[in-house]
Amino acid sequence: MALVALIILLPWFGAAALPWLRPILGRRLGRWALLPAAASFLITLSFVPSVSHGQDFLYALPWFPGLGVNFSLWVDGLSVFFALLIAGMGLLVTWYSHYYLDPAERQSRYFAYLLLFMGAMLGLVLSANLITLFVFWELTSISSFLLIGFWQTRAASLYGARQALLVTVLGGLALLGGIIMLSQLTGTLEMPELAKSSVTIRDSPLYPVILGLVLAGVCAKSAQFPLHFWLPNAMAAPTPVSAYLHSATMVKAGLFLVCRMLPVLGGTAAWMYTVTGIGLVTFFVGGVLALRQYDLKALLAYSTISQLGAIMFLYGPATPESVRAATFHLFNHAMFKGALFLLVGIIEHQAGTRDRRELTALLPRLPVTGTLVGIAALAMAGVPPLNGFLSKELTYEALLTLPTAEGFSWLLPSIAVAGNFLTVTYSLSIFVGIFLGRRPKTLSEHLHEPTIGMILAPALLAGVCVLHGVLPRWLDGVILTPAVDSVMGPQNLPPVMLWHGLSLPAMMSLVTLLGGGTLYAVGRSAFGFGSPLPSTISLNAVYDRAMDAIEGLGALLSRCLQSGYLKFSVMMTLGFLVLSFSYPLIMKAGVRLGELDLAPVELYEVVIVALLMLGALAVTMAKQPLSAVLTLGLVGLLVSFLFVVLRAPDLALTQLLIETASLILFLLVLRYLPPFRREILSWWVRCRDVGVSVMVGGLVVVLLLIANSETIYPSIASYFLEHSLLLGGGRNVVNVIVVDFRGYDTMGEITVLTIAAVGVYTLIKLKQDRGHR
Amino acid sequence: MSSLILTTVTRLVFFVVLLFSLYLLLRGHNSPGGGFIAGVMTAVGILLLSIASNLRYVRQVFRVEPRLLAGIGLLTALTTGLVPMLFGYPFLTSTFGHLHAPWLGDVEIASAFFFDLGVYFVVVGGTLLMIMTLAEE
Repeated sequence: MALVALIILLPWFGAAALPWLRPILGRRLGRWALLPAAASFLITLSFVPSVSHGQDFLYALPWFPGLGVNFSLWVDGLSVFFALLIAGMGLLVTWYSHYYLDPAERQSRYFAYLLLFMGAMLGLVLSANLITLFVFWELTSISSFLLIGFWQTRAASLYGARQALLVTVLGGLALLGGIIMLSQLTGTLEMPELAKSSVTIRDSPLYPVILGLVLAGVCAKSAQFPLHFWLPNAMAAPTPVSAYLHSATMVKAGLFLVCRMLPVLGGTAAWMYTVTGIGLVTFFVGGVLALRQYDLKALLAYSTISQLGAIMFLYGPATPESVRAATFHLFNHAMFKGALFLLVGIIEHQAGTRDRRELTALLPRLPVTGTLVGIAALAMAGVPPLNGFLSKELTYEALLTLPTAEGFSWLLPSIAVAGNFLTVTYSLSIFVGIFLGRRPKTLSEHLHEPTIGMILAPALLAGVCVLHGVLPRWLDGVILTPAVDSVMGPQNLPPVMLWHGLSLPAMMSLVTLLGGGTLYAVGRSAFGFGSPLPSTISLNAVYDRAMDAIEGLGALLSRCLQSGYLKFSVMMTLGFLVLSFSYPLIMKAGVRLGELDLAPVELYEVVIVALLMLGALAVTMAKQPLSAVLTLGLVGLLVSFLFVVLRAPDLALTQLLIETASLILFLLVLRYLPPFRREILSWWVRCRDVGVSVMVGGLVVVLLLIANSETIYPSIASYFLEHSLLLGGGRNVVNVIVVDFRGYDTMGEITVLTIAAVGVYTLIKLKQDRGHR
Repeated sequence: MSSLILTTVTRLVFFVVLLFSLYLLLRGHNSPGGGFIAGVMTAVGILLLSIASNLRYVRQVFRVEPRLLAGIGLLTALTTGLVPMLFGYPFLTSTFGHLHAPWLGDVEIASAFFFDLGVYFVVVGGTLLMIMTLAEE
């Protein structure tokens, strides 16, 4: 247990420690941030030998055992594959960030956020319990929010951060709904257990709802249509963050969940059509929009959306071949897209712009960067012998062997080829458009290569693109096949090879490259590539409208409810109380007051209560604020006297003190209050006020009687009386209840008290500050 | 409006109030009292002082920021809850033991007292924070 938990905890320890180490480490902070990342990577690596032989490990720590919520971790082929990807990319990105960030930036904060994300993401892929997974899922959203908004002074960063948070957290809420339904249906939250009851789930009438909710979470996280629009705005983040979170790891969390849910929810027609449909639409929408971007990062963002769609749709048919193709492409995409992002970061860092129109013929100036961009872009286009070619071949192969309806076997493969035309086209526009060409613009006067350290990270990734393309067998056997096996069960798929004769998939690849090349050559003039889309039809505009509408609704509601007229606010609150309580009281409890066992009422009690009522009436008749306050104090004192008579010394003491404190408080603010004005109230208003008062008073009386009548639940008072000394070690039952039996409540109450005090403080200070200005 | 009698008497009475509130705090587990009541009483004592003298005087005597006090209280209560988790018990499990000290006789020590102490600090800090801000305005 300890070792696996360390994979998650080490980055978090690092995140907690970095801000404190800043004065000591200074500029070397980024270097030391590598340490926890490397440790996590190595620990994950140590699981590879056993996992690649088909073993898996489960570790559980009870969390809320009563609810079936455990902190349980699951080390199997899939989680190790993802964890290696996350920790490995994390290492490279941390290394790269050291060069990318300006020394004047708030480095400790940046690296702490990065490590926070790394731990959360590792926790997400290692979780076995769905609630554990959900908690980590939300933590990745939060750390993504912090990282996108890292440049707090830029409006685009703030907008992108808020949008990403809202969309992914809304998706997370949908996912939580799905998770809860799953656990209600099967009685477990552990994913290894869930797969066993997949038949029950698929036959349940709730199945479409669960599927819809889970996929909503997936779409929000993995930027699938129609929730893809947050990803391009998230590009306001520092580029290494975009490379890490928004292309290599976090946006793959949705795909990871699809993998995990495939044995549970997959295999139905509904799954097949929804997942394939969402994936294909995203594939095309992302591809088309990618062609219409000036900004290199926006282009990469849309191409990421498109590629995520390409992976997503392969999970729809859920054959062993298609899942293998998806897993391969997921890995390959992380490699070439990670490299591309980091290289765009270099171009931005060296040239000061990411605008495609300003960047041409950079190859003579940036030969190394240019070569690496070439490798990565061609890998994305699927040119042999690079890794992208491999996953494209596997995709075509999987689609051709798909069992489909008669006469439709050509449909999915040809859609895939058509979609990949777009992939080839935007891949070419990244390399050819920027690095080749004849006319060098004024920009590249003092443009030169960055330091070797900055190039190292993308160079390693590009190296993997080549190596994995030429020698796929090595990584396949160790990491990728175990990942496929843990989704689909042990399979005996033929080994992946770079070249297997002039088969149909190879022909299709050739067609893809030729078609994409042609599209690129003629596309500029014919389809207006590079001209941005009008924003009115984008989904982002829908988001903006929705945000405006929510703000408008909020303003409307607060205008209605917070009129600034105290009497009205009090009446709203009390009226709501009466309405919300009387319904369940009348309909559910049925108010049986006949069985009451009340103590006999003594004469002196009647006297005190009569005095109390007189006092309360007198408060309403007071002419001046001071007399009202003093009369109110008198009422309070009478109440505490009543407590004494009823033998409740603790309550009496509390009441007495609170009465004193509030009296002082009143006296402090009294001089700010205006004198009471004589109000001439209409007959109707008087009746209404009296009506509300009577209803509230009546409700409280009924509630008290019900609480005493033991009709709903048996009283636990005797338990407290008997066990106070035995379990709590105290003879004052009230105190033992407060600090021990009901300690959790008290914890909440003191927290609320602190929040209220800070609230008062903030409100008044805020007003004072405004006054000074 | 400064009254010499009120000021002098309050300064004397203040310590009695403080002492009594501590007494309430300590005996709370077995007799009427406890962190909440003691906290309110301390706060009322300090308030009385601030009305009889002035707020600046109180700030001079009472150096701790109310905000800080509330935070310390919350942390104390939380720690009391977390410590049993180190020993494998659920959050906020309490325990108690008896100590035989010379002169004092049998003294009961309950872990819930530290929780109560947290409540005390939160109540003093929270109440003072609210009232001092209002009074300063």
